Amino acid sequence: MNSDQAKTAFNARAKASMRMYLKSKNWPEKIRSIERMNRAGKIAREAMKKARNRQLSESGQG
Amino acid sequence: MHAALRALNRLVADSVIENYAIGGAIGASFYLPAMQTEDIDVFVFLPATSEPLVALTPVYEALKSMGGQVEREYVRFGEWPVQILTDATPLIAEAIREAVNVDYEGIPTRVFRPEHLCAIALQTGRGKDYARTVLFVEGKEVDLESLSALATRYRLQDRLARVLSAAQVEGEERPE
Repeated sequence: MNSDQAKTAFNARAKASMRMYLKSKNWPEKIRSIERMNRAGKIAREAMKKARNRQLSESGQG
Repeated sequence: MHAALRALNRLVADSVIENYAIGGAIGASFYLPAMQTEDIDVFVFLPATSEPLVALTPVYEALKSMGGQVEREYVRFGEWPVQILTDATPLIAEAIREAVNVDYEGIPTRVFRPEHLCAIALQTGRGKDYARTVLFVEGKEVDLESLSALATRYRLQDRLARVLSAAQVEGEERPE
């Protein structure tokens, strides 16, 4: 490998390593966002279940 | 999430498993924008054994002793149910072996490479798996040459072709 190839390979490795570092930095924020989505989904499901039960009891089927 | 990752690392340290890597939507979220999922898919290499059947009981028992709560096929740590899956196919075994070491707020862990996440999604073949692969291609988060080679090796060329025809990538040459 000549010095130009070695430099290119080094730059590629450095770039890949920086890319992974940045992704590692952003990943926890994405996970927290998924956690918020799941919490919101749970609240929505519980509210729908309550509404359905109320509807059933009002119509005398519950 | 932190508790789950610490427990997984402890499984390796205690030799309950040889190694692990995160796949599924949580693994994909390392490369792509956050996507909805309710569990963490963890793929593990179990230590070699002479038993004919693969048993996950020691893994579940160890996770339980670390504070995990077993719920059906999951072990829950805080908000996150963890599903333990084995290296059931050669593609998954390769994905675990070649996973990348990453960091989650100071906790080391391993995530499948994007090419393996896509190939496994193609192999699984549900609508959401295809959709996820399209996102990888459109976001240029996957090396198309490597993915194409994987698809050829694991006979997934037709499925990859469907994804590539659905994906809209500007200025990108698609591999044959």
